Amino acid sequence: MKTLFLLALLIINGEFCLSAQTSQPVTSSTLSNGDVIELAIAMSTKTPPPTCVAELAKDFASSRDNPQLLSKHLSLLTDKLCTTYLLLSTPQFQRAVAGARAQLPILTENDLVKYAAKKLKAIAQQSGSGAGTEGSTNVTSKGLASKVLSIASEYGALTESVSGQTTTASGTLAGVPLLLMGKGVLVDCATKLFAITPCLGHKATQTLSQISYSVSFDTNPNSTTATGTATGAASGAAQPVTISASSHSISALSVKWAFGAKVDKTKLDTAFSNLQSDAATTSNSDNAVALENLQISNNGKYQQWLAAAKITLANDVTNDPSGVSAEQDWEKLGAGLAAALGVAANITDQEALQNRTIQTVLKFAVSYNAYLGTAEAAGENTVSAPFFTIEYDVNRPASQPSNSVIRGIYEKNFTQLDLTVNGAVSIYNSNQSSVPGAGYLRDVQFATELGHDFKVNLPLSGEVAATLSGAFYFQYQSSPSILNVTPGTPVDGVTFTGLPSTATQVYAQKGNIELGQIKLSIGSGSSVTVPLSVTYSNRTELITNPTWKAQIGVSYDFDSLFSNSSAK
Amino acid sequence: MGGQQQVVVPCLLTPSGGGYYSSKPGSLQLSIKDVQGTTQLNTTKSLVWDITGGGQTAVNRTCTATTFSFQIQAGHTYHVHLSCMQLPSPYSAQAQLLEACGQKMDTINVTNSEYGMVITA
Repeated sequence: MKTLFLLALLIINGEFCLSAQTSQPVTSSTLSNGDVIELAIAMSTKTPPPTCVAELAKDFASSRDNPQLLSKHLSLLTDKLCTTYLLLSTPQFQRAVAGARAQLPILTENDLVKYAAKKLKAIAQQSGSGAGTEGSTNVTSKGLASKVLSIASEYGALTESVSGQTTTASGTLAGVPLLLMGKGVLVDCATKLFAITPCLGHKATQTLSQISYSVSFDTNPNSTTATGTATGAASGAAQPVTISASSHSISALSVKWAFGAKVDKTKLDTAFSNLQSDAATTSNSDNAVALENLQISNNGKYQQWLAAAKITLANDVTNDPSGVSAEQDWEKLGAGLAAALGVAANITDQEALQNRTIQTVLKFAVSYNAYLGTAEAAGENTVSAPFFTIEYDVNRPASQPSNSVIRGIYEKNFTQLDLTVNGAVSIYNSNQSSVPGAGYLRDVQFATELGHDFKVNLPLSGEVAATLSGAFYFQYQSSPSILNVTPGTPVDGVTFTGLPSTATQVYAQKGNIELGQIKLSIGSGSSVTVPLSVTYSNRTELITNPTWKAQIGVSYDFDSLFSNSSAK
Repeated sequence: MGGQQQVVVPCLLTPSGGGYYSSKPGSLQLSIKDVQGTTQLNTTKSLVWDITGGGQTAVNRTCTATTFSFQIQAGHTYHVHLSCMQLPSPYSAQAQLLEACGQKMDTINVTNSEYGMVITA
């Protein structure tokens, strides 16, 4: 059993690899079991982080004019990432890793279980509450990708909401990577320090952030159908049967790809405030100071080493303008730097394991990667509404043939006006040729909405924000609306008269739908919103008579309670 | 004639490389200027200590999202730690670290968002 844990930690290490520390910087050489385990899997990458290679190349090219540029990448004050890599790649650090691995068998199985449980808990833990849902008074789809994106980033992989009997899980494809980055178990490839940590490129993360998904599950117990099949011989009037039930199924699936989202500068202050108070930021800053103190407390030896290192690199710049020699020599300077910081070249495995410098470097490396992941996730919350969104929906409505909708959504914000235009094509997922006038094409939709933001003065609450919007919706019905019926089992909410017992489908008279709506939302942008709307339509998909509707509602954003308190 | 008189702020710091500086005594003001993305100082974690003679004493400083200032006294050595946060992405944000006189001290990016300086006056 214990061997399995060791294998899990050393080989299948994705779940257990280095993650953020929230403890204080190392002040003594006492190692916890967790420290030993983390050190045992802390082999550096074989090559420097790509960001370091790029920065070195850039500064080497300019170093003839400014020799000080070379020193920048040899100091724990001015280039922590690359200088930390230098130290992690030294033989001394590798001895500490060997020392930690030698100590692993001494640990009890209970120690390993406790460590694994702690790490899994840290990874799985999510904060915050579920996202609220809005009413259904909108006739125009908005570019929701940015909202989904920010919510998913805040809560982790996805959000879940429940509306009536439908449970919807939504998020962006970047939700899981960002969650793991914030926990330090996935890093950006550009700053990867440890061989063991999986990485994802920054551009890939950004692309995944643009793609959001939503899956709705019908959890209505009435939608579950049970089927009984006679099994075995009857016993008098009693017949044994096997009953099987259909499980809750996906009622809708939606994928959106948002284009043109930009940074909303009004959201930056909140994002910075949240980032500043984040535990990963605080821990990383503490560990960075501890790292700087290592160099400052060994200043004499460090300055001697720095002088020699600068000469080596300066010679490389003179003799090899390509910069290749300089980079190669820079990579070899780590052992000397470690020695200058108190890690002797001939240190033993056990001494290296207990060495304060090595522990401090490790803690910073781990916390820096976790901080960068946290900052990346925080940045996603600053994204504004996208300029254009392409959406693909698969709908499986109850008692209707399933269909797919491809929709394009354009959104443009002016000073006080918000224009949304979208068009969609809806296609049945199977040919409905059994119904006269029907085929694959279900309908074509066009909708537009223009919203105007303004302020109103109310007697009790004073000045509040409000939005007045007008919307128009047109639907060309290519196929009549179809309902699937089961003989003997009527469709919920519909009473049929004179329906033959053999009928499995019914269809309505087709015709184009035109709908107009005027809506006033009082309190828009705050935690309490009161929408009032008046809607007229010439018909619906099933009913051919014109309809008028007046609606009033109250929505409260419970998340605002938590977001206000967590920001402090 | 009615024109504003331009105040010339003298530079205090002279870089020695690797984050080490010699300085004239006076009021040192450092500032962050965005080049790409937005960079802000962590106002609670950007600190300065007087480390003269091997000690470590916290020094009063004034810190905003983009400026950091404290008083440098002759004969003293200081350890400055600037904790910089970068958004929307720490992987592509860049900012210049400047002295009030306009002297560019360094570029802040993903490699050095936790930035240290040792200043000897």
